[in-house]
Amino acid sequence: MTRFWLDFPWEGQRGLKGELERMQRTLDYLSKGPEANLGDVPSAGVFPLTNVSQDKDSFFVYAELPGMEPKDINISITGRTLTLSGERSIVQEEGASYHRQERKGGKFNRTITLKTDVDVAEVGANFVNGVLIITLPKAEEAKPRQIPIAV
Amino acid sequence: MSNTEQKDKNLVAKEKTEMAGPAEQTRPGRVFIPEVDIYEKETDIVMLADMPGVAATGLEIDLRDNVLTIRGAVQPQEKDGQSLIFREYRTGSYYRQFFLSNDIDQGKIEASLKNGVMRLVLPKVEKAKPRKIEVQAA
Repeated sequence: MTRFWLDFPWEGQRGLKGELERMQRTLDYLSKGPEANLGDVPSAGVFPLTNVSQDKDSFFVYAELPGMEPKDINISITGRTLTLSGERSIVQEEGASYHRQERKGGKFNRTITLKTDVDVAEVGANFVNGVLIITLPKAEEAKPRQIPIAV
Repeated sequence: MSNTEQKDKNLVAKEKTEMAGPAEQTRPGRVFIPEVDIYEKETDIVMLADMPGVAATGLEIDLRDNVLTIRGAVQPQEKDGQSLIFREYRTGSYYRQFFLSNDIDQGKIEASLKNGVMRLVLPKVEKAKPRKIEVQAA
């Protein structure tokens, strides 16, 4: 199970209920694949919400941050800890009177703990149309390896 | 909300609101209601809408019979060959409609898109612009 990011660092604070949910999610994942967890992942009120995918070489972390500039997003990785922080500011124009205000500004700081080593030096990030994409190449020993059978 | 209040605030994670309209979609996939700010200035009304993942080519703005319709199509974020490990948010297109009053100069609406935020500038027609009324002394 060590390959899967099914554990969330804050779950330890959720007691028995959190632990049961984690087990249920793990079982669902094993029986039905990633699609099974949808909606069950605890969204612990940590901004931004993220999606994580992988291929054989890398992990990909996605987050929607509309209206932010790349310079206002801080991404750091220390060992297996990925941190996203920044501040989304909603600038109010001079003399504007509001009819609706649904978009929110504020600070965020989110930590994601990886369960596999990544190649820290090669981590890269893109920001396209308000969507942040972080590419984390897997460390050599974490990549799936074909084992040839000696004849 | 003043600027200082905004600075001390932390953003709260919130899932996008899915549209539960009576009409069925012709295209498959989820449809979300983008969050908007609408504010008025002396000469125009400005609308900002959060539509992450929408490229300029995927944005459609349609205006007829005083109804402004915004549609944003998105491409799947994950590339082929990637498998999802966990998902906290869903992706899909955006859709929202607004009634416009006759005070808008509908021929001069301007739209732009930057970092996933659509900005529409709706200029007011001359007669709707504020005018200072002089009080005549009797």
